[in-house]
Amino acid sequence: MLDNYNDNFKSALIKKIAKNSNTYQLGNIGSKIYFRKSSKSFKLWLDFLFYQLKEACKKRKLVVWTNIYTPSELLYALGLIPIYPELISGVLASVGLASYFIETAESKFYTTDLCSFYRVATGLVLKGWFPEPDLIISSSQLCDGSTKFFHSISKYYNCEHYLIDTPYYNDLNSQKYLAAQLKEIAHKIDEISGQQLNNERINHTFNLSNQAREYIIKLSKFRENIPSPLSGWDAMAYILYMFFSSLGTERGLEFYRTLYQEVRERVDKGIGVIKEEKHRILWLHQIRPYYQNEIIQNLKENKAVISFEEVSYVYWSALDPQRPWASLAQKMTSNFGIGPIERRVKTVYDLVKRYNIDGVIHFSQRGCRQSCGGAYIIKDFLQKKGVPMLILDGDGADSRNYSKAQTRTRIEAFLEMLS
Amino acid sequence: MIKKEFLDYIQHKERIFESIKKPRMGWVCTYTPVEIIIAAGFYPYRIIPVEDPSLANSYLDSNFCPYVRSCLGEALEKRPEYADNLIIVNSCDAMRRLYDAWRHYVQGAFIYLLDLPRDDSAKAIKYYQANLQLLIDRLEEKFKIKISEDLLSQAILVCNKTRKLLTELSDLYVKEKISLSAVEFLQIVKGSMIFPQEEYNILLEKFLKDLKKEENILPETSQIKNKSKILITGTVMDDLSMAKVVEDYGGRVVFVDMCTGNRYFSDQSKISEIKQTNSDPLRVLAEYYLRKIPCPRMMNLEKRWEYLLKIIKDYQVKGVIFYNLKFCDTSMFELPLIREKLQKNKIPSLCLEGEFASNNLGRVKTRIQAFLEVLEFAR
Ligand code: SF4
Ligand code: SF4
Repeated sequence: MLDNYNDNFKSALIKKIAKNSNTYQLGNIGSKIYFRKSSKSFKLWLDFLFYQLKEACKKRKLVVWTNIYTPSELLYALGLIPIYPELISGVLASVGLASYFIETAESKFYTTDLCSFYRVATGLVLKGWFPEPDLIISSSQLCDGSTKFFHSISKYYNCEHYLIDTPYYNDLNSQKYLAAQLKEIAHKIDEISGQQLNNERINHTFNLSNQAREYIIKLSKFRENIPSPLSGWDAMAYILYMFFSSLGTERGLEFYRTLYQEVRERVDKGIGVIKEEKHRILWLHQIRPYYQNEIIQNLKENKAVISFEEVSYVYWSALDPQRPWASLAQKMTSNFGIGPIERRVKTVYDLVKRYNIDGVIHFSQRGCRQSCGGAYIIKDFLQKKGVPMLILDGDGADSRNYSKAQTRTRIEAFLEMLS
Repeated sequence: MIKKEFLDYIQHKERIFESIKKPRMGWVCTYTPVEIIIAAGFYPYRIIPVEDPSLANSYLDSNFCPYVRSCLGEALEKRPEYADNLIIVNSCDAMRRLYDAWRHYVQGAFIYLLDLPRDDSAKAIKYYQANLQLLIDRLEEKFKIKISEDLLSQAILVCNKTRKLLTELSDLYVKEKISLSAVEFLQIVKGSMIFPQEEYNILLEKFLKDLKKEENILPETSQIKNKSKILITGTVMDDLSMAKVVEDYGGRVVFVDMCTGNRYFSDQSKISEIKQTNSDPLRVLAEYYLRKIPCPRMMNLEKRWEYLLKIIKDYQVKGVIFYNLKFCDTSMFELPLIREKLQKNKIPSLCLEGEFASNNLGRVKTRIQAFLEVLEFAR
């Protein structure tokens, strides 16, 4: 009885702390001291992360939970504060907290077959440890898991869920359907927030996004360099966080400007990620494992470096503030992950050539239908072109599905084949 | 036509294949407008596979929906026969990948992916209607045919008739006025998806007529009241053995909320509206498909729950069995919420996962038995 009381008390206390903006202020200060030797861009990311959580607690603006392929420019133009549960799940996994939330979710029938990022996020929801959403906007572009996750949590929080139903084809009819949805959502939010969406705000947001996009493109150009100046391992961590959540903000632009300068310096000085670069790897899938693992060491020991990863590829053209909805719709439908697999195959092969890739690793996250489903076809195609590919089974957030020895053996065998 | 003869007939699809002269058009998801296939002069044929899914192993990840994997497995196994025409609907990640794998490894003359929105808003209906038009354009272009409004309206009538006959059958079955087991009932529903619809309507009509003859109507007994009525819910049921297990242990399956069960025929397209309002048959189809009882894949939890609750009340359901195919994200995410709602309404439920490999059917049996015992006890 007393124990139970203690638990309830503890959990109530944690919730209170987790939903207080001062917590994030302190977190920011603490992490700055802890990470004082890290790069400037990394610190800018930390700043951004804590800033958004802090703002979400203050609730001065509408807090919206969203997913990574919902164009962030839409949200910033509407003056919302976005929270990205999938990205947060990755962060939690990297600090070793994921399993706690995963267990919570599993105790409520969210089975191990579901994507682990959404199990972590569901755990977060069930624990109530997070700034709650005023509304939810998600796009169905990513996967079924994501679409359903957001729909169900809107029931938990009893708030509106606006689904951006992303069409399969990239034709005019589809773009119209998509643009009409974006416009409708924007107007609904205007009504709720009582603000008027004006051209000035759209202009401002789109311009910031376009400027950041320019830097990302230049960065991608730098990464053609041998030796590779930027590790894909970082690109799929804090940089990826910014890639999806910061476009359309001043902080996002500053981040990319800084990162650009850092990478440029390395290129100028000829500094590579590893001393002797023997194998250049292209990494497929949006993610990598975030919990403690040895994959990057395995690669390094064998003189392999992740020179590029498909998720960092800029597939969209600059946004046009004159036609905001059509332009955002186009950004969404340009994603090579939607539509027939040939689109992805083509992009992957282009990247292989452009980055002088020796071997491709497809990280097949258990529970991910969207990306892993196409892996065999991609492998088949690349093989015919003489490009070796490894399908590496694993898990992004659930460390229980990571086998150190097995992963090492597979990576080593693959790299050996490359030499 | 007597039952045995009819059931025997519909379980041998090879025989039918031989006698049908029309070209075949395969389909896999019940959001496929079969009306269009019929109007185009094809024989619509749902792929309900029996092959071992492991045949698909080198083409699709093993953590994929077993239904989709079996479809691919079956097509690979019987390749020349299957490599003709197929319409896939963009219902889920698994289906999208099936479309990719099929085009590359099964191949065929006409393989089409029809995009499907996730709700029934006016915008979505309009979009879906445009997609149906696109499908028609592609068929006309590819096969040099013309799919007129008249042909479409006629095809709608044919499909409506099937749905009406199946509804009638289901009423007789639920009220236990005829002797028909759950498995037999489901086999007849399945038959309607794999046989040419016009011919099937004739057979089914004859069969029903015979069933309704006085001598075939069972006397009312109190026995039926004593059985625990079960609702089975999920996406696709590829393995009917579970329904048998429920009945073997004294339960009575009254509604199968699956696209291979009642959900397939429970509504009808409002063809009458076409005549009254002169409306476009494509519009009618778009509305029908998006507004019918939603599959878990749709983004409409409330609607699904309301409809499940109505069934529970209408059919006096005592327990619900979730039968989810493994790795089906849409149903896995829905289950906890529906389960919670059932709990609030004091309806016991049991969660089972397909694929039942024969080696763990035993375990499933025990669980179903235990579940039915609890229901019995609670009465
Ligand atoms: S890992 Fe796969 S299933 Fe999970 S969110 Fe990403 S795309 Fe979806
Ligand atoms: S059962 Fe689920 S995963 Fe399989 S086809 Fe249906 S919706 Fe897709």
